[in-house]
Amino acid sequence: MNGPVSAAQIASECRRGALSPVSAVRDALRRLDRVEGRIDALVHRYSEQALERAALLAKNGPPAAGRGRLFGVPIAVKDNICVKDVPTTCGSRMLNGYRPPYHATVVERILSEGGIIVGMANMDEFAMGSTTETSAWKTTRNPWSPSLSPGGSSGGSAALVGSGALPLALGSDTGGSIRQPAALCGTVGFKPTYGTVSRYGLVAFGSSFDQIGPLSATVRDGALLFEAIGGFDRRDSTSIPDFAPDAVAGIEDGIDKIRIGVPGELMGDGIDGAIIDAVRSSLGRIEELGASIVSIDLPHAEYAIPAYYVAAMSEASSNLARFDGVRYGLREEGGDMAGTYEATRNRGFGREVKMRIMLGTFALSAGYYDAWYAKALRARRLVAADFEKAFEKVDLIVAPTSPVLSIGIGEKIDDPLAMYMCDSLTTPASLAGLPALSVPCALSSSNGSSKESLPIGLQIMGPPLEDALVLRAGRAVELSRLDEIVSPLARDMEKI
Amino acid sequence: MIDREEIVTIANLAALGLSEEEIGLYTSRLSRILEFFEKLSTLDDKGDRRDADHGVHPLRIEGPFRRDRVESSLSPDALLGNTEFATNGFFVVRKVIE
Repeated sequence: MNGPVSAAQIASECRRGALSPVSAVRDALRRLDRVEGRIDALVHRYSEQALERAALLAKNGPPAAGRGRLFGVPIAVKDNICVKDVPTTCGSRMLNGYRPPYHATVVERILSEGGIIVGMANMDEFAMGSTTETSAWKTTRNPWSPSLSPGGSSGGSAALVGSGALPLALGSDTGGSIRQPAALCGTVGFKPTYGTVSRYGLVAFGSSFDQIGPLSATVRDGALLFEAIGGFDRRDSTSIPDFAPDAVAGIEDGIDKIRIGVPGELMGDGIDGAIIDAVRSSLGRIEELGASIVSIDLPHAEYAIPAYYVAAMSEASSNLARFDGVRYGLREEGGDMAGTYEATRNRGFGREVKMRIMLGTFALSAGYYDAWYAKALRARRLVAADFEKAFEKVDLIVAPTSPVLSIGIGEKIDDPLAMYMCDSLTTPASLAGLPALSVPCALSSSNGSSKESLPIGLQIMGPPLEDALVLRAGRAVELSRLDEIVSPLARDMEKI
Repeated sequence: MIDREEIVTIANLAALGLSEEEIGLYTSRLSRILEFFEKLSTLDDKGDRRDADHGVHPLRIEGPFRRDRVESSLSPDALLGNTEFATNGFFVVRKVIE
């Protein structure tokens, strides 16, 4: 139980017999015992099942060559990804007690690579939020400070990795829900190209945006999990055919001669000065590694927030129509069938989810459709076209991940608009379906810009299917940073 | 931006059964949000010619096809296992047609 855990190291040691999967799981459970009371990041913990599975893996021995990429590695799954026969609730009373009759494809793939699921990570209800506070179950706290939110919606996953309890967790990203909590918790978070990771078994929010991806302590571990879960799946109708992720092999190849675009629109107003300073100094170091820095324009980025919220909530209002109390989840009887729908949905959904369903229903309704939904889709295409044009002259685009260093618990929960603005830097890549990574690049205290010592995330966006290049550049940023970015909780863990 | 009456109509469309308090809350919150999102109306989209297929994803992913053959899927028992309101292989709901 020494030092930060690395998934690659656990898997390698378990494969060659130097570490037993049972010891790896026991170690993870001890770490969870130590931090869970301080971060409240798990909705369900599957200690017994995890130990049983570890014992089975140990008994059967290491997998055949080329398999077992995650052999013996303990992993948490965001609570909106189906794990067969155990509760998956999306952080909502609506799905209290729901036990999926099937595994999500990503879960199947983790299991077939020898990974071990230890629990379900807390999240904003139906992934709608940027602080994990809209969860019906608990308020998750940031491993850097208990008064701060871990971000969201994959806040439980980010807090678990940022606290040093687990090397890997799955998240999902619709408008920034992997990248933003990764930035606020000082971890790596990767949203792959839309269509490269199967959405089968991910409870749908905004289907044309949703993408599952890894949260990890290192870029290499993130690439490892991406390789394990990515690739074509015929059960997801938007899965990209013939794509097999290959991100780990070239991850140390560096960024010599890579052209990096920096969009002024994502480096200006409304962003904390300490964040801008950290990203600029990181860009300086990237240049020293042989990359060239080029100014670019994303003129429609200013439309990203309204375009994203209108388009994604329109999809959400349709997707969440399935929660009617008939086939699964909560049922609250009303006077008649329509009354049952209303009573169930009123009691089952929380305040923010109802708000967003209202927004989407409004944008899709007769008389408003053209001015809102159709307009949002046009803005979406123009944002995507800006990126396409930019990628004619650069290989990657860099910006901050989050405009704010931190969000206090309770600070924005009653101000939805302020909450939505937290997604201003992540929604552009979401609208265009691009691969985008958040990697910790500095501490806010390092250049004297801020008294607080909090992690800062740098975002790297790439053209569609250039996921491996994005991760490679992330690895270079990770290697070139000057600060050691380890949360106080994870540091405590090192002393054990 | 949006009045109480419209909020009630939208809530009915979405079957949310809002309380009086919620109607008041969402009238003010949605108004404020839509006021901010009005920015969309300033979008110059004349250069965007694909109005006819504006549902298409920016990555232009095409829908896949397969042969119309019966394939294995979840058993009825598995599908009925998540509700206590099931009997004889059916979901039980309130009478819809009198």
